[in-house]
Amino acid sequence: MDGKVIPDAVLLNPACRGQDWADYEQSKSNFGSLLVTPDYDLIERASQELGFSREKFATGEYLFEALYTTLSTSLDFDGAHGARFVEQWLSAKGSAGYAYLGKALVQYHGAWKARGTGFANTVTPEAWDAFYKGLAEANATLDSSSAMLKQMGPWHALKLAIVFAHPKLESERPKALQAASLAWPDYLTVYSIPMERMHPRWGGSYELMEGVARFALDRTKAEHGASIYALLYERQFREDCDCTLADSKADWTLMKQGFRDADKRRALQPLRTKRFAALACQVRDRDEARRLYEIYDKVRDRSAGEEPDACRIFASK
Amino acid sequence: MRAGSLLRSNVGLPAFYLAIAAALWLPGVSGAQPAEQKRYPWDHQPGECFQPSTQADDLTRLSCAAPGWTDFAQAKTNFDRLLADPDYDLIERAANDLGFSAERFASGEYLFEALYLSMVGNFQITGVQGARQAAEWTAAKGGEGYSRLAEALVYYGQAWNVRGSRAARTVSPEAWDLFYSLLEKSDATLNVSSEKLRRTGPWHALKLSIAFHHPRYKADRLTLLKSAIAEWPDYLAVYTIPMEILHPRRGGSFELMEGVAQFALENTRTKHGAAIYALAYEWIFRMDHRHSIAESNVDWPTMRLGFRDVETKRMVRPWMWKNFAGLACQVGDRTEARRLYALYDKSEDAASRTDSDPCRTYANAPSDAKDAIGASGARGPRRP
Repeated sequence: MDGKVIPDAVLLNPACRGQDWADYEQSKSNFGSLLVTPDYDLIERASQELGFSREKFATGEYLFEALYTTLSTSLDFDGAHGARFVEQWLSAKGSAGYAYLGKALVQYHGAWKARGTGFANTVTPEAWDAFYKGLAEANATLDSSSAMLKQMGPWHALKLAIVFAHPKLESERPKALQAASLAWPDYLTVYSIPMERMHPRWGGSYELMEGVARFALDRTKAEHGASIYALLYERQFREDCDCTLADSKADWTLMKQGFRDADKRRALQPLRTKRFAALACQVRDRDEARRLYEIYDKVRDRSAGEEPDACRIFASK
Repeated sequence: MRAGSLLRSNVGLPAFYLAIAAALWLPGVSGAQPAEQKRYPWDHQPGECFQPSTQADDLTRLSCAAPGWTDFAQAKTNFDRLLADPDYDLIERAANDLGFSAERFASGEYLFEALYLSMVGNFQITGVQGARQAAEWTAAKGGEGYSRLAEALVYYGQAWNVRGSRAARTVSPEAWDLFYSLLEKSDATLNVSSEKLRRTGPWHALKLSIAFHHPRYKADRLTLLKSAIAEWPDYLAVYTIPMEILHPRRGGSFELMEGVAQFALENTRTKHGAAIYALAYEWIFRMDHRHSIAESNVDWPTMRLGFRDVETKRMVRPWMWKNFAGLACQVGDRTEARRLYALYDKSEDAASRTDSDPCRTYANAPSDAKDAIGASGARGPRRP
């Protein structure tokens, strides 16, 4: 716990802040570029600026989401190299900051590599053992991390991912979800992790998924209307799951309200609008799909061209 | 094409013939080419290799063979690199070098497989950018070569982008219509391509992929498969494409998959033993997240024989031993898994192995330890 932390006075001084973290996608890309040829001074500084901030991008994501997504993806992909990188980062900068979360991420992704992403029937007994062992190690690492790190959204996100994957930690799930949602009520991942684990393909049900979505709605309604509810379902049904939103228990009226609330409270994003339209197509709501395509056409970059799109054909009929 | 690069593809010819050919500067080899050739970005040969030739230095120039196509992964990376910063002269030359060659890499794949894999990545799944690049390529170099395949891959990729990879019941009627229409465009593009392109492995592979996904071409499938096999009997994709489409998750069955695998075995046994059979199943189960090979109708003794034939004929990249071992773990064959890990450990990839590999744990456990799922038939719940 001997990492050097940049004083708050510096971090909070607007004059000292560059334009490095102005945009979510660009911030991910910028932080990712630091990982290519590691300079641990810069990596530590960037992880402090992003990871211990409570600010959001105009598009609604927290600054720490850009850090966490990039770090997690990179460590998942890099395997043994990732483990070495984290060791060197820890050695250079101590364990008070995000290097220590990196250590837990290496253990977590190692566990999933051992298990594989296949259905349970494809997993061997040895793979289950290695999976649970890796999750337990990651959990222990999280528990021994600094108080400062434990307050942050990424710590809660990884904690939830672990307890919702390990049956032995089942009793900790409600407590972990409560703690995370109190600390970061509008951090989407806090709800999307349990919601994903409640999906029928993991042995859950659409009723349970709707339960988590309603919990998120209760926590965020005052500030965000139904936008978090809509964004959660969008995230769940974006991935291929041999299912559509029409199979779920989502309240479509609430979803439509959520689309409008998201557009009011967050900067318009062409991709998000198109994904909302895709949900409207899945439930065959032509009017809503058309409305969303009209918004999309106003904000998209027309010079970039467009792929053939069956949902647009449906909306235009 | 300069002499050096042409001669590079004739590696099967005796060395003295190469020397004579270079010394005589064969008509049609150097004469039809511009005096100075562009370099590939990875080509760091001395400058004299790129100067107009004289007979005096021709023999010296034999060492000027351009690098780039000696290893499957490197060849793919090199072609990717060309597409990242397009120079259509270089792209066309590289596509011709790789795509119209019948040579193979030491690891067994045809040269054209590296090209095709790169093209799939750069044209099938890159959307608008890939479409623009394919059109530019054809405009720059004409449609005699691989640019037509690029165009067909663009339509094929658009078709799958529209359909998505979810179960059929989740696909909307508009998406089905558009999917089929785009597959037809892809097929039509293939049909108007040049004679020489139509004889290549990648052309046959894409043609088969389209025919096996579009009900309209159902009656053509067997003819197309036979035609592909007649041209490229040991090109793995010719068998894995129908095997994948006959997978139970697509409405087929493990019996049908095994039928294709046995067909592959019949067509390739004389030359390759059971190697193609083993490679085909490895390819199918490499990305299968729902089933283990223990659930299939694979003939495991033939698989084991196939692993040995792959070893004898050196048709393997090192990491594949680990994948083969993974299959042995799935069926609970500890002895075979251990043998395959020993082969893997001798390979250059072994340095990157991790100790947490559960299949290795299984392989190294005493013989009376608990069996893997394939042997016990145990099935866990569908959740972690």
